[in-house]
This record gives sequence, structure tokens and C-alpha cells, in this order.
Amino acid sequence: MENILEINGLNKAYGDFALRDVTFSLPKGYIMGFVGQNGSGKTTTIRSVLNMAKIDSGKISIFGLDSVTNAVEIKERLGVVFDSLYLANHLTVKHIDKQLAPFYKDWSSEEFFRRIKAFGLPDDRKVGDFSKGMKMKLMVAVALSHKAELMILDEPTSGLDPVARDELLDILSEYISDENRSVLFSTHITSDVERIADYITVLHNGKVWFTGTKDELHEKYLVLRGAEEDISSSLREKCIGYHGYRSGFDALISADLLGEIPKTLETEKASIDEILVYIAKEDGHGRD
Amino acid sequence: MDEIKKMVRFDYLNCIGIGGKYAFIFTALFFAACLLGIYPAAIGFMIAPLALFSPIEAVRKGDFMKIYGLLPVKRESVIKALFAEIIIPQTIGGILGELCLLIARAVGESGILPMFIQEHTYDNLTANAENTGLNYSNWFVLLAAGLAMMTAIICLFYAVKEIKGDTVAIVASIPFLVIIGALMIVYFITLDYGILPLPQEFLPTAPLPVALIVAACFAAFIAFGWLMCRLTIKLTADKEM
Repeated sequence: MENILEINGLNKAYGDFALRDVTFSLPKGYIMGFVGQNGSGKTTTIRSVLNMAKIDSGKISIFGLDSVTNAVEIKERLGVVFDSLYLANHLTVKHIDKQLAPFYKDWSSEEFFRRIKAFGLPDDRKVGDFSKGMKMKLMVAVALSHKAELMILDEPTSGLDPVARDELLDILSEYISDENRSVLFSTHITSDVERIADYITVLHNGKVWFTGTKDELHEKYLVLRGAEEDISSSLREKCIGYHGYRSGFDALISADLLGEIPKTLETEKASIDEILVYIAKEDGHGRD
Repeated sequence: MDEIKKMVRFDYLNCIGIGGKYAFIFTALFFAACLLGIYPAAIGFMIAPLALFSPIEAVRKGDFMKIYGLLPVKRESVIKALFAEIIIPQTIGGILGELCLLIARAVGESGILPMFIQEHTYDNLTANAENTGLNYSNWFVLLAAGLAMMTAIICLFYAVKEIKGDTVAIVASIPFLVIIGALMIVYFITLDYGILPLPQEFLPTAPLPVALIVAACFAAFIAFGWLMCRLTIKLTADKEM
């Protein structure tokens, strides 16, 4: 399987936060959800991929090209959507078409305006007056108008109402129907990942906690619940985010340990949301 | 060069609707004033180019700045475009200003202006030359020197801004502005007390020396701008966007 994006051993430190040995890959033709708590390093990783942040060590390849030495060539084929608009607020979409067209060999004004119309965006209004959902769609339209092969979205659904979120996810699903394209989107809204992602990378405190398919993640971890007296101390040590309370406990546990779990304890599949919560709890075991 | 042209075009498209009309209005006003013999208005050509640049500056902040990291252009092209947007309009403004001084003198000396305008504009200003310490030829040098100083400060400001940020750039500019203010105060004091020689006493009046000084001022600010551009490129190569 050919990888459209490869990150190997990415290290980047900012004061008291650091990305440490971040390694993951995105195969061509798939969508990867990039999840983690606020402040886990998702945006820093994306900025490093875009060569907007200087990395301390590691290697990033996009389309098989080095992200630093081939940055210009890569950006020709890359579409980016941020959580806020990066275009001048007082311009209309007609001005934006004129501005951006010279930069991309494959820019199609026809395609741009077709997308604008399909997304229901006005072409004579200042883009600064657009709603948040409309701004997202505008950035997606820009990305789609120069035949971007990889779309990177940083918290694209943040602040969107459910209808706008649903529309954006539909657009991404349609985009990925071309097997030569891929999507990397970072989010802390795990339901979006559950809905459309094929692959997931979980980032926690600057480190990759998991990377693989969504199915692998769901099969790898279980939520364990029961009475505290029913769990052995050795098994408890192997739990993630163990949380004891008056009537029992809950924790995340690796499915590999299924054989060690007594029948008096219950297990169930863990959602991505629950996995993130337990990972966060692991940083400080809670007890009520 | 292609990338720089694209970036300049990009920046001007961001602001031509805002600043373009003001640049045109200022240029038209100062030109009209010179046509009426009010030659000191040529100094206004130091300001007119700023009407083109200021809106670019107003737009280049916050989330908008991310676009410079997303567009498929080299980082140094973004910096080169920035300095081109300062130096080229300032150069054009300076040349227009010098031309307007020539036109104003030609108009004033030709006597084509109606008398009531002539005696209140060109004749009045020329007669008051002693009070200002400046004769007509000195205005060519004053415009060029003022433009050079202003452009140099703007280039320095933007170099520091790109390297170290807005706050440091403002703090770094203050001493220069204080020095200019102090020089102007000294100049006006010398007018009253005759402590230093007046510009008309030491600046040349012959056309060739005046032209050479004007050319030297233009060359100096263009060279300084180029130097600040190269320095900024070198020091921001690894800077985060």
C-alpha cells in the first residue's frame, strides 16, 4: 500500500511541551482521523507537516517528497482547511479566485465557482460575513479547485452546528471516493472520526498512543467494569485510566489481557471517546 | 521573480480596493497643487505610496497570515515581495515628486497661472524662501532625503517585525522617530537663532550636483531596503509561520 504521508520520528519542543518521536503513515485513498485532547500536539504536528513549524528532528514525506526541501511542489498538490479562515475578510469569492489562480498550475476557476454554487455560497458577499460553516466550505472549495491529492484539515468541524458538520463530512466522503486522494483531519469530536475515518492516530501528551485502522483500535481495547474486590492488583496495574469509586471501578484494558479477566468483571467495546477519556485519566488515577 | 510578482499581485489584490483609491486621490491632489505652483506639496509624494502599503499591513495579521504558509511559494519570495511593496511605490512616489517640483517651477516661471493664483502660490512661496531657509533647489534634495529616511525607517521596521515581532519593531523604531523629531526642532531653532548654516547656504543649487544628491538618496534607500530584505530572509528562514 502506497503511503501519501509518512511521518517518522518527529520531535519538536516548545517550552514545556514537546512532540516526541511521532511516527505514523497515511495510505493513499483513505481518511485518517487524528485525535487527541486539546493541547496534545495535533496542530503542532500538522504545522510541522506543512513546514510552518521547524522540527527538531525526524522526517516527513508527502507524496514521497521531503516536506522541507520540496515544500513548494507539495503545496501545489495539498489542500488545507483550518478552523478559521485564512483569506482576507473583505474580499468576495471572485477576488479570491483571481488571487489564488496564478499560484496553482491546476487551478480551475470553473471548478471553483461550480463548488461555490454547489455549496450554496454567495459570490458577491464579503467572505468575512460568511458564517463559520460557510467559511469552512469556502476553504474546502479552494482545496478542491486545484486538484489537491491530500487534504489536511485542522479541527474543521469545531464550532459548526450539526447540519454544517454533517455537510462537511459528506463532502470529505465524496472527495475520498477517488482512490488517489487522502484526507488527514484532526479533531477532538470523536463521533466525526467514528463516522468517516478509516485510520486513526491518537496523540497524547505529544506522543503517538495508537496508530492503525479504526477496527484495530476498537478490537485492541475494552472497557472493564466491576467491583474493586474482583480485580487483582496485577491486573489493576495493567489497566489504563483506572477509576475507582464507591460501588466499583472502570478502566480501559488491552484486549490481549482478556484471558486474565475474571468472569465477575464486565467488558465492552470501547468507543474512541472512552479511549481518550481513559488515556487522560491515566495521567492521574482517580478515586472517589 | 515570477513568485515575487505573484505575491505582490496577491497582496495588492487584498488591498487595492481599500488603498488604491486613496493613493490615487493623494497623488492627484499633490499633482494639482504643484500645477498651481504650490511646490512644497511635492513632499506629499512621500505619503501617497503609504496609502498603497498601509492596507496591506492592515490585512497581514492574525489568521490571515497562515495563507503565506499554505501558498506554493518559497518563503523568501514572500519576504522579497514585502520589501518590493515598500520600495517600488516609494521610488515611484519620489520620482513623481521630483517631477512635480520641476513642473511646479516651470509653471511658476512661465507666468501661465492667473495672477491671483500666481501671487498667492509660487511667488509667495519663493519670496518666503529666506524665512524657511530653503531655496527652490533645496526642495529637490529635501524631498529625496526625506523619502530616503522614511523608506529606510519603514524597511527597518518591517525587517524587525518579521524577525522579532510587532512590539520589538515598534520599540526599535522609536529612537529613529525621536532623532528625526529632534533634528526638526534643531532646524527650526537654527532658523531663529542662526546657530547652524541654513540649508540654502550649504546645499548646492546647480542642477548637476542637485541631481547627483537626489540620485544618491534614491540609491541609498533602495540599497538599504535590499539589505534589510536579505537580512530578513536569512534570519527568518527557520522562523515559524
